[in-house]
Amino acid sequence: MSDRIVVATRKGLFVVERGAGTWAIGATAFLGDNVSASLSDPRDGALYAALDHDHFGGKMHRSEDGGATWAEIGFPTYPEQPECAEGDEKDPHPWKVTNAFCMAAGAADQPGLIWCGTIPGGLFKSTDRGDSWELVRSLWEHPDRRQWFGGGTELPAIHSIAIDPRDSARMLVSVSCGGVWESCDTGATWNVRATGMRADYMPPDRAYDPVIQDPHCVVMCASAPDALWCQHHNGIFRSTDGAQSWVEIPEANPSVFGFAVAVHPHDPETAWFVPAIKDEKRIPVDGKVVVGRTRDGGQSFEILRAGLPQEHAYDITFRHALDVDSTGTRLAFGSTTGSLYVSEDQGDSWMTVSEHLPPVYSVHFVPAS
Amino acid sequence: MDTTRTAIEDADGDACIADRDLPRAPPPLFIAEGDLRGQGGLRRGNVRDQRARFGRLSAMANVVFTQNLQRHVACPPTSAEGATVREVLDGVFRENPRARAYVLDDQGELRVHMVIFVDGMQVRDRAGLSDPVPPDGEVYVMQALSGG
Repeated sequence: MSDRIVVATRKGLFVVERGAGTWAIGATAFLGDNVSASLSDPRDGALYAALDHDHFGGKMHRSEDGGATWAEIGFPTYPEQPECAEGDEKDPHPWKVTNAFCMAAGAADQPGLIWCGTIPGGLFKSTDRGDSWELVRSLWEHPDRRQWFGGGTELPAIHSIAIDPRDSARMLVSVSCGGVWESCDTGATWNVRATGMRADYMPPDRAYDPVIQDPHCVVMCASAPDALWCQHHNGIFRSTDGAQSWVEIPEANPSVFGFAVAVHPHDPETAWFVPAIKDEKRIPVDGKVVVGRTRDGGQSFEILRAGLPQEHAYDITFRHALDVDSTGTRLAFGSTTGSLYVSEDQGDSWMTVSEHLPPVYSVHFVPAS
Repeated sequence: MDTTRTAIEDADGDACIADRDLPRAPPPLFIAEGDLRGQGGLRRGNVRDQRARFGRLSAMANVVFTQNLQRHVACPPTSAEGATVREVLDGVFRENPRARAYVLDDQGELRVHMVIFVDGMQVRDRAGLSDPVPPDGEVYVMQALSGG
């Protein structure tokens, strides 16, 4: 069970630790700076933080001591852009990383391998623990990439990277808005895997087009990797065949809209969501912060509210700000209004760690060593 | 040794050249406080006075970075040869490569929320950085308020 949580916010990074049944903020870093993504590498314990300095661009730092000290490392950077073609040949996306949006560690048999998903949609790979990065050209140069577009951001964003624990060469990468992509050869070739997803923000004849889908977040069950959950712009989708097809979950209380999803690492039927009013309003239904939980593969949802604010609460939880630990027992989520909640009973009850953090971008449990 | 801090902290008096540890860097200069907002803006006279005082090479442009960059990467005032902004900055970043990515983006263009002034005039060619720099020009690399 994990006793540590890393919280990345608009104004710094916070390490939250459990002691005597309560959770409290311990180490802090980058106070005042925008921490756009973070990663705890279970292979060597290294902690990574991606920063987004508005003026000075993105930067990345690594800590070898749990967040006490940090050193700047490399940052994903596009190669020189070819001569700009005009007209239909013109690339709709700049060859410039504006934001390191998510990170993922390679498998145990891939030491030093780190992945980084960015805005404007480039996937980057490091084989030296982030000291240097290389654009995954096979995905960036896939012709369908040019159909991607921004969802909540001006430009496309790679936000979810899942490595298949059975086969480290297989991975899924999800894009807002660009669908879900599968590689079975460590990123050498790619195929879109969003069949069944529906986009009602598109003209009807393109509603089921896989390459323009807006999966907000996609998670893979650790012990049953063919079981995937997706919080999509249009609702909740589930795959039981390794993303070969997706099925929409038509009803979920109190709403099918949201950004974040977490799946139980040992029970593919159990998943958690933090719902909101769809879709322009994006506030909790009735001003009550709740977590939705299904234990039966999406056939029914429980509304979990014990310990969460139920009056004039307008917390929104972004896609990376909900996590479950490796046992499936502890959960944590943070909000745009600076709240951080932790549950030690699968969401049945919640305790408030803070209501005064900067807007929370991501929350993850540090894997127990 | 943090020569940048020394230069800033001594900005109300004489530049503290005794604490310099960058042999190829020019003497610390009086640098603008903050950016171009309010009365802490460019002070050409001070820069020129310092150059005369320390006998600077007249053919080199003087380059000063926003103070707000200093907490991320040390960028003490320096000088470099070059006829254009690009050439001058290339010279600066050869000596201080880590600073490059804080000022220029993936394609070597000026970051969207940065701005450069040459002798008080805003650089116009943000992509190519082809704006000319006089032999003893003053180049200020600042934050643009568009970035907040």
